[in-house]
Amino acid sequence: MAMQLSAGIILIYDLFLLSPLYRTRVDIPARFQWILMIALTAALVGVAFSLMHLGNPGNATRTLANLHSSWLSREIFSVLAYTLLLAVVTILHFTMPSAARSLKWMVDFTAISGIVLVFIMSRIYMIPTRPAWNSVFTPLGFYLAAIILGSSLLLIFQINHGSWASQKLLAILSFSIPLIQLAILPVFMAWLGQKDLVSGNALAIILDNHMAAFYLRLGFFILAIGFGIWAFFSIRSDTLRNHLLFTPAILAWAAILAAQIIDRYLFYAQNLPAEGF
Amino acid sequence: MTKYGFYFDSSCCSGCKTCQVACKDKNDLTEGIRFRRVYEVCGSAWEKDSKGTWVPDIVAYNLSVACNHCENPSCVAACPTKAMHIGNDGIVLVDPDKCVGCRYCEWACPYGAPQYNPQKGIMQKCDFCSDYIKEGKKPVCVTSCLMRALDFDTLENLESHYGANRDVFPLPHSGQTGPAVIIKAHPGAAKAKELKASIINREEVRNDR
Repeated sequence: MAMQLSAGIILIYDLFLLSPLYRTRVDIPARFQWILMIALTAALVGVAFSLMHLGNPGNATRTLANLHSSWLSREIFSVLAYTLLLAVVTILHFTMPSAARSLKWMVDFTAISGIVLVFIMSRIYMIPTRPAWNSVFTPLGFYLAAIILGSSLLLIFQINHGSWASQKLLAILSFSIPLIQLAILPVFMAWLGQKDLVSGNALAIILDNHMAAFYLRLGFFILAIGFGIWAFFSIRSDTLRNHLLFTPAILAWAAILAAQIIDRYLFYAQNLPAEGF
Repeated sequence: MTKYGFYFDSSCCSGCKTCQVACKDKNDLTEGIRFRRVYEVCGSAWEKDSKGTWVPDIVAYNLSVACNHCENPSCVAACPTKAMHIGNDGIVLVDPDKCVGCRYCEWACPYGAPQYNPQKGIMQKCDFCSDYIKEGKKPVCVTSCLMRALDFDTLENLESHYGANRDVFPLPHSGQTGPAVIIKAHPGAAKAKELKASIINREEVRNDR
């Protein structure tokens, strides 16, 4: 999830903050450097966690050996490529802030590599032996998680400094993505229920053994939507009143983070092998 | 290239699990690791007979499953380090010096064959008792089977003796990976799906370490 947070930050940063909304400014604002630093830290945390779950991390360098057929190998390659690009972009933003805007193509490239990375990450789970994961819902969920984690965090960075338009855009994303996630949930559950026996069992496990987490996730989704809407209506064109955005933006991000963590927990709870093997 | 395979007669397997225990003993496997697992498949329903009486219709049989050393092994395709590979004689092997212990092969294999060893931090699996094969002997699971439900030979010989069936409920369709196993299905297996049969000893056989 740290990788998705990182990719989401870069994608939203590239799409909304580096583009026309800031065209009038010459330099990259200082806080943007810290946005990149957070994205880089999240990516490094992701790399560290990836290493930690290996039984034999000493052989980690060998994981690039099967790019031909292994999605895991491809994921590791993408993670390294993305993190390296992000590190270069971050260093350039810190060392040459005045030239950073002219290097937007590098941020574009990093954002694209982030998009590719999220797809490859989701592809790891889309295997026939795990029927509950093997559907379009997996990449969809991964992309929505990346966008919402990135946009809700960047909304906090926009308080007091960001333009009215960018604040509005990020606030809309902060409540509309959880709304989409909430709308997809019953569709996904209905699909699980009718797909096959194993997927039905995965659904039964969620409803029988993880009901508390299921309702908690629903609750946090609803809270995130509420706080996002509150944030949207707290945005003022008068910059002196920007502080009104602080509380709902922080609360929205906290609710979104909690919802995504529980969502991932429930995702792994559906790890049931096909045919019971 | 010689291609070896297992034969399993589900109709005469009593489910004693001697094959499983013999394999654990020969390979000195710790608790929770099973290169061979005996799955108990069971299902039932009520049906109306010709006199209008409701009678139970029950199916119960065992499946002894190890690595099937598939022709197109999904574990080999999934392994990021190429530790999981096909040896010269078609045996799917793990190279312990290359394995990173990511357990992705465990997810990818439709038979649950690769087993994680937490002490060593790597995957392990059935290798057809390669050392025994070199000595001209059969794998220990085969020689230990009290009911002679298991056999081992070249696939060619197995097919000429036992036919070519590789499918039985609830194993995944053999077309997925091309398993090197010939199966004589239990007579009840034909209606197992209809009776909604399932594996009833999941807690016992799953690798949850």
